[in-house]
Amino acid sequence: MDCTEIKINLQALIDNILIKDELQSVKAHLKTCPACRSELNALRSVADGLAGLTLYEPSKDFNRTVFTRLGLEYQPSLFPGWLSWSVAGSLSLLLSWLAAIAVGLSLTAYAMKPYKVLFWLQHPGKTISDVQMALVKIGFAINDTVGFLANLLGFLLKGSSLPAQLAVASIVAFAIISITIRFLRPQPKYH
Amino acid sequence: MENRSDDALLVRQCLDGDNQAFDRLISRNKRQVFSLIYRMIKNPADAEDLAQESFIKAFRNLASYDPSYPFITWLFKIAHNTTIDFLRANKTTILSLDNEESSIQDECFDQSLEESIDSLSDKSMIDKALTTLPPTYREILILRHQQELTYAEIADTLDIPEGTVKIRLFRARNLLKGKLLNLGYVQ
Repeated sequence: MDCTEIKINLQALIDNILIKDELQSVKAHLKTCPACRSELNALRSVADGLAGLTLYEPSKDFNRTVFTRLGLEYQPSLFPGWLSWSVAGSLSLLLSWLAAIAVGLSLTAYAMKPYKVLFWLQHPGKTISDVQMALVKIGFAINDTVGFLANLLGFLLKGSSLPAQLAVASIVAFAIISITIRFLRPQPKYH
Repeated sequence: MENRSDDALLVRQCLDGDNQAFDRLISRNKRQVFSLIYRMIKNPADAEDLAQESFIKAFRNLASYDPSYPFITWLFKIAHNTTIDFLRANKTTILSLDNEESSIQDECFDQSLEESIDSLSDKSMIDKALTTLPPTYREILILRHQQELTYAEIADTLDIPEGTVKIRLFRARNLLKGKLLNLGYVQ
C-alpha cells in the first residue's frame, strides 16, 4: 500500500473497522513511514479531543417544562436513587421478618386444641395468664422458626465460598426488593 | 455511557403509565441530546427548546420505539430531524457537501477562532474549531466520538447509508484536523 491508500485506512483504524489483513498492512507501513505515523497521531488527537468534549447541562427546569408542555403533572423523585433502594430494601427485610412471624404463628395455632377456646371464655382470669404464656410460646416458636430457616440456609450454602453466599443473599434480596417496589410504586396522575 | 438496557426497561414502564419512568429517561439522556443540538445551532435557548421538543415527540411516539435498538439512538434521530427542520425554517445553510471547504455561512457562529487562540484551553479550542465546520459535520463527529455510536447506529440516526457515514466522517475529521493543525493543537 502507498501512503495515499494508507491515509484512507488510518481513518478506518481510528474507528477499529479494519479487517485483519488490512490492519497488518497498515501496521507494517506505519513502522517505516514517519509521515503516516504523524498523520495517525494527529487523527488520534482529534478523536481524543472530541471524546473529551463537555456535555452541556440544560436548565434545572428542563424536565418540568417537558411535562408541562405535555400536559402532565410533574412529580419528581423525592429521594435520590440510592436512598429509594435502601428504603425499599429495609422494607423488604421487614416484610420478610413479618412473613416469618406469620409462618410461626400459623404453626403454633395449628398445635392448639379447639376446646381450649371455650374454657378461656368461661375463665377470663385464667385466660389472661394463658394468653401471656401463649405469647411467650409464640416468641419461642418465632425464634425457633427463624433459627430453622437460618439453619436451612446454612445447610444449603454449607461449604460454599463467601462470594457464593453473598451472591445467593444478593439474588434473594434483589428479588424481594423488586417485588416490593412493584407493589409500592405510586400510580401516575394525568390531567 | 449509561446502561442502555435500563432505558428499554424505563420505556416499558412509561408505556405502562409510569410517568416517573419518563422523568428518569429524560434525566438520563437530556445532557447528550442538549449537547448535540447546542453544538449544531450554538444558541442555548433554542437548543433547550429543541431538546424539549425532541423529548415530547419521543413521549408521544414511545409505542413505536423498537427496543432492539438503543433508546439514545432513537432519541438522537428525533433530535436530528427536529434540529434540521429548525435550521431549514431559519434558512440556515445546512451543508452542501461539495462546498464543505468553504466557510460556514451562518451568522450564528464565531469565526474569530484565530483571534482568541491564546485564551483557549484545549477543550474549548476543539469546541471553537468544531463551530467552524458545517452543522452536519459537527453532528457526525459528536455522534461518533463523543456519543460513541457505531457506523450502523449513525446511519440509522441520520437516515443515510453506512457508506455515506464513513465518507462524511472521514471528511469531517480531515477538515477539523486541518483547522487544528493550523492552530497548533495537533502536530
